[in-house]
Amino acid sequence: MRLSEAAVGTRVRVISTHFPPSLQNRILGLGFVPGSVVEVVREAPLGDPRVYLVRGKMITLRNDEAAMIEVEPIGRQLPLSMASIGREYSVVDFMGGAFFMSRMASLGIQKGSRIRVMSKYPLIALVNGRQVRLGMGMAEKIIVEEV
Amino acid sequence: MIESFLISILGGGYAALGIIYIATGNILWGFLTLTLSAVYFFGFEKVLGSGKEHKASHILTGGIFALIASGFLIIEWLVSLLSEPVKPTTVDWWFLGVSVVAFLGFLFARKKFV
Amino acid sequence: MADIVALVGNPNVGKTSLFNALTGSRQYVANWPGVTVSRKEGIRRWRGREIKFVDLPGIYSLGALSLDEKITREYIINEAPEVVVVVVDALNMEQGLYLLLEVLEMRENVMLVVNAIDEARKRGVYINKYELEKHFGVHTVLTSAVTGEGVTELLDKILHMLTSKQVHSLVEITYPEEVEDKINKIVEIIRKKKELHSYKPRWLAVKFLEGDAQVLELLKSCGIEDEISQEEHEKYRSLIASRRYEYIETVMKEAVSSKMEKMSFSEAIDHVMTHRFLGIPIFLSFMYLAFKFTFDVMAPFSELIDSGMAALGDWLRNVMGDGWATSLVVDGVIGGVGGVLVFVPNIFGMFLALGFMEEFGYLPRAAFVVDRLMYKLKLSGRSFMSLILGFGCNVPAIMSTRGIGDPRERLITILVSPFITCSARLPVYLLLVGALFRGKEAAMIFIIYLSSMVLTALSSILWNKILFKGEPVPLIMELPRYRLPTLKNLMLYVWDRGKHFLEKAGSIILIASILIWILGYFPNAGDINTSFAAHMGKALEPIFRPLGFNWKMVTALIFGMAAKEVVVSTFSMLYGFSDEAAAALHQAIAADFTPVTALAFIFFVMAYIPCFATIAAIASESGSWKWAWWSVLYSLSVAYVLALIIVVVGGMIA
Repeated sequence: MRLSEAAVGTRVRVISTHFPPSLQNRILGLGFVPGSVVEVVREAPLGDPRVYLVRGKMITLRNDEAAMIEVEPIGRQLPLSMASIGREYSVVDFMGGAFFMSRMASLGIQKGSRIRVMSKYPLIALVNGRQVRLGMGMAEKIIVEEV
Repeated sequence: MIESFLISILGGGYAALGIIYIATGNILWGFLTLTLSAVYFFGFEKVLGSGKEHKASHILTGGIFALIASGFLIIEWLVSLLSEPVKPTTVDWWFLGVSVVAFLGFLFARKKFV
Repeated sequence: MADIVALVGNPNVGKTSLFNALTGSRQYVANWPGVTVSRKEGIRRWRGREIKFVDLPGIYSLGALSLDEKITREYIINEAPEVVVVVVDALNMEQGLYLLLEVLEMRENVMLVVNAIDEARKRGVYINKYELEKHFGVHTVLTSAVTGEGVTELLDKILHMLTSKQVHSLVEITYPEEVEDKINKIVEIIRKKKELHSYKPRWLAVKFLEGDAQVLELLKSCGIEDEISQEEHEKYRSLIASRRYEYIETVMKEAVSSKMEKMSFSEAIDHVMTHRFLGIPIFLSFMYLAFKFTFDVMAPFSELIDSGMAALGDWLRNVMGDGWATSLVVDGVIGGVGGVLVFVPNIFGMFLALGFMEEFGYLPRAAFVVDRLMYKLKLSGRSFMSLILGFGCNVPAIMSTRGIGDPRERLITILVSPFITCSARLPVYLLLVGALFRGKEAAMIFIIYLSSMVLTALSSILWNKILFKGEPVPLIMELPRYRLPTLKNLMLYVWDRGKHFLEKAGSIILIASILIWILGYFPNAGDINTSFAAHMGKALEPIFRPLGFNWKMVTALIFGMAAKEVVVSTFSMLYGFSDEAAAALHQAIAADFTPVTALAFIFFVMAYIPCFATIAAIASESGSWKWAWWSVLYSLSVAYVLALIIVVVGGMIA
């Protein structure tokens, strides 16, 4: 997985970096070394660039640049958009605002709900025995944990 | 409770002032004032998702923003005494008045949350 | 001779504040040889000894590929300062300690300064400096540049290192076995080479493994070939960096204890400042405040200078009587230089506003918020700030590019910013639009401003294609903590940068003003209609005939090179009306122009040669006159082509 694909609010661990030599030193010096834990803090108004927290510093990277960093998710929490098909997950947290929350409530999704992903493109999930179709943007904001 | 009250008062106050500014032709300053109002109202954005701390961060930012903007108004008036003095309008005085409340809100939020 | 102490550190760790605290106002700024990166030096007398401090650019690593890194590294190697002080931020030390490890590999006599200790204490972070001294083998001082804490101790420690000749720093970190094996082998080879004795062999070996271009070349010149593949270099680079951070992590565990519970002030503010909906309106509001501060708030000061200059001119005219010498001093020197000095309050106001935002920590956030828009133009959010300032005046816009980190981006921003319509061009537009497009003024002015922005955007893409083959500039930037700017740092910031403009007004602009005066005054003692300039206008007229410009317009354009608003006053003189008789001038102009030529003229004024002050700024900020001439040539041809297109298309429609 690339760092640019990690959802806002999640934490990942760096596996390797693939920058051109002119940037590689700076990237390593900033703390993006294999093993470092990186948190995706926030995205700019148009979704690009994003802010990452690495070793105590807030660093901005464009998505093109973040795509040059190979990462793996930490722990079992991940956004629904990255869940595997067929496994069962439980909802841990939401990353959205009031509108998003009421939308979730109307779909019957709340903290603790059980979700099973049926297909990815389009993303169809089974919630409380009901099939729900979700956009990728929405799925990114639902943080789940495998049960 | 206090946070929500502050947000409503300040957001509403600046919204009203912003509309008056725009109506009286001071469009850019009106835009600024409306932005300030939005900074407060977005404190309600995650009604279900998060609580007091989220509101506090909006009150803190609004306070700083208001402080800079009103400091700026005062400097402009002071400097303009050198040539043609710029006369503050009634709306400007109201802006300063609301900003005092905004600054008090800032002090409150800082003491309590950071 | 004074002993030299170099300050090294990440950006935003308060290195410059510490430098200010160490040297007070006894500092001067120059450029590093060959580049326009500022180099600050200052001298401090301490217990009878002179110590010269050098503030090196903020960096994250000691590579050799980025300009700042290269400057720092070469300074440490070639100038061999007596002591190198590595400054780290108490609240996030890790990246700073990484730099410390790199410096330690390079040389002896290094010190560690942990700055902003007061902020750390306030947030419940405790740092044990003896643990740091033990693990890094360097003297460590905890300081706060803001409160002045620890500065005396730091000076004493530096003095101690200068006087006692013992060599400090003995700690060496061990890399994984496969790396160590390689390092030892290479060190063996390096030790045999006499010409490399001035370097630390282990440092050369590590850099060699990392595939550092400069070191590879150095070793090659001594007959050591690089037999490692590119992928392996990359692997070693990662292994070495990871090991350094591992070491830092273990040290941090022992040296730092923290009880951070509440959310930090910065986090709280940042949530709103870079908010996905609020970010852009807040940015625009702050931009508006900065803009208003630079131009509106500073206007009374400009007026004071303006009326002061006018009074001085009148007084001189009374004292000296009429004659060419009076005209030279009053119209040429005072009129010309005074006309530029009027901008001084604006320039200082702009740097004050910009300095406040930078010291406060907002500037990088602003760049972050608007980056997406600028990315399309192959620029980053940072240059957007500079370009916006150009709507007031291009000179402060170009001077503000000093804060742009990437040299390519900086050059492009400098080259395209003259196309932003500055406030001096507005009187020209107003005159012509008022004369020929009555009733449609607002729409016309809007179209003109819009075109100037489009022109800027297209030029930016074009220059990027030509110079850098369309590669975008990376946006790898740190968002520092917010902090309240101190008055002292702010004043030093403004003075450092504003001084350049004053120097310029005294030299280049003075000469240019005299030149323009000569063209306008001779040979017929001030009669502009028969002056050299008028002759030049007439001589150049054929070139401009395809555009429909007559000699009066061409003459006005020549004078407009001094400052674009001069076009208006030249028109008044050429058509024989005083400035006040605007209506009569409108009529005279309406008789001479057709709407199509007027439009062509407006676009010509919009694009052609930046004024002298701007040309001077381009030359000094880009570091060479070559770029200034390119800019002149480019803008002239763009102006001509634009005007020609308007005339041809307009002719077909009409």
